[in-house]
Amino acid sequence: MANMVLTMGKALLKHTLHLGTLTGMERFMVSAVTLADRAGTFLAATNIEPELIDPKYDYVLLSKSVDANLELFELVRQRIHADVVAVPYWLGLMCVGTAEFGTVFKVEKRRVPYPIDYPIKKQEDIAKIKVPQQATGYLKMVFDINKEVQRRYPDALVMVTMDGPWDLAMLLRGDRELPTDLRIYKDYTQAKDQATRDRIRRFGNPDVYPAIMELTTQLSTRIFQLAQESGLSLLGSALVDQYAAKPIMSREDYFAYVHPYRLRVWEALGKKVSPGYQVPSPQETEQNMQDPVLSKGSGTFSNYIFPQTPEGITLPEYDQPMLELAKKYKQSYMYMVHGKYLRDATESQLDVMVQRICRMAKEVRVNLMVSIASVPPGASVEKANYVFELVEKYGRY
Amino acid sequence: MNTAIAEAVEKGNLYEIEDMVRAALTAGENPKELLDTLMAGLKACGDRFERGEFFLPELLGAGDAFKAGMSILAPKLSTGDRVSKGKVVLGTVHGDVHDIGKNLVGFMLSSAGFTVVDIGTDVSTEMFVQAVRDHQPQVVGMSALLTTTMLGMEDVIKELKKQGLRDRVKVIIGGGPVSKKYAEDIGADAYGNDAAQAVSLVRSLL
Repeated sequence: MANMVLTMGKALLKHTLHLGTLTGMERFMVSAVTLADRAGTFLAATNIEPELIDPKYDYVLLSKSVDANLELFELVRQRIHADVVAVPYWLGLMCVGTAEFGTVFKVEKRRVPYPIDYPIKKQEDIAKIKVPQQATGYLKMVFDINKEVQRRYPDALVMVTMDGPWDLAMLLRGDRELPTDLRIYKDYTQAKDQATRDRIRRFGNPDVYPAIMELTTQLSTRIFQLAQESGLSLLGSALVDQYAAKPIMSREDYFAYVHPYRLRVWEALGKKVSPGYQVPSPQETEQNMQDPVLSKGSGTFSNYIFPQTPEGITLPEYDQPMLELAKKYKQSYMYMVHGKYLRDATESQLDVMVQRICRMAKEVRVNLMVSIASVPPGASVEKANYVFELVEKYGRY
Repeated sequence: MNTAIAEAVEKGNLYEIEDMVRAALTAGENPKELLDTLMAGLKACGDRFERGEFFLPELLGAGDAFKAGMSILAPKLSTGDRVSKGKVVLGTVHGDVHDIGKNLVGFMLSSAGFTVVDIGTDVSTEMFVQAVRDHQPQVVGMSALLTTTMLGMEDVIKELKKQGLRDRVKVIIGGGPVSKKYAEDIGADAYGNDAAQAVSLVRSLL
């Protein structure tokens, strides 16, 4: 924490007094306060398929070995030329802790681990899941990796990114059952009379949804606390409920049935975690900024879930309003290059895309952060670096 | 049309639909017309999803209400009453358990009158091929959310060719990492950018 504050101070001084070129992390920090020297670049290391770095790193090995994750992260740092490279583990959704509560993941060499069975089949199963006293299993592994990264690379961005109540519930209950639980609960609580409520009970159990969310609220809070207890800082951490957005649920349902639980986690953690909420349009970005809690969250100024063209580019009409909103609220616009476009596009097509978004950001005079959502099979490290080089070429303010 | 029943399906009123269909049958309403009514409710829900007014819980509710209504109505229907616009086999490819997108597509197709055979998630190449043999659909739809699992789509198409089944079925693909170019590269017939496109896509292929 002290390191980060010091780095930030030095970065601002260096930028203001023009004392040389900013490092990647310095640029990242400067952009949080003022317009940096150029658009930044960011990559979550976990978004690179391990085999593209070295085929010896497969998901079976990575799910067992802290050292393998650290070695692979070091290789990614060496080979990827982004300002900031973060998220140094390759565990898929096992990283958020539900494997320790009974979610069964299948781990195969060439596929990111994926859930195949969920522990909550009926209401009685909820009470069987206990809030952990200490981090174990994959959760401990994630904390250990983060701590070692922090020790080895003091200027690295170590973010504690963990699931919020809804996403944990999806992984403990299943993505078919939980939305159904929500619907039954919603219908029950909105029923006009007791006869209707009695009737609803014959078709489903309205008690399941609040009971699961109560559990996952406690779990989510505790997981962040365990991260802190293991020595990690919550500075820059994110509370993620990416499945609580459209088209999974309406904004109204989010506020009525998910947000109150997230609010409890946020408050229990001293309002230190970033309660991000992804949005599919600039209009909802503006709405988020009117909300006292969501306005403090990450993910609001990102094109990640904006509608795309069939080729995989964010619809071009969304960028200008987003850049202007970013300027209005003194934020950076995180422009994600989607993995499928990185894979399918030619270099000249990538050139056109990066040049365009950089030009627009320069015209608006707002910080732009270009990231790559995934580097999938069929793409390459070289192609990812090509995008980052284009940002260096076109993104100078 | 019995608008109350259509509205009950549209709004996912699972809890009253059985009684409503029973009452309509008792009152002498035509089973075929009641089927059209249930379908109209599904379609209205699908239309609202397309317009961004409804989301996953609403679609699940309408699907459940439709099934509940059908459980009462089905014994009263004759063979000619149920005219399908075509049969579609849907599945998520091997190694991928994401089924939200597939379910949305299934809902949209069902609501437009297609017969949907959902063969689930984490479906192996062999299971896709077997489903094509068993159900003889006009269209097979594959979904994937991961860049690694989508590679299984090509395996399915190759195996359909190898087994001499490719010419009998159109192949559509969809999901986050899938693109138009990828569809062309692997020899799929079409690619859907989102669930709302599914109906027009399938119609265009038949």
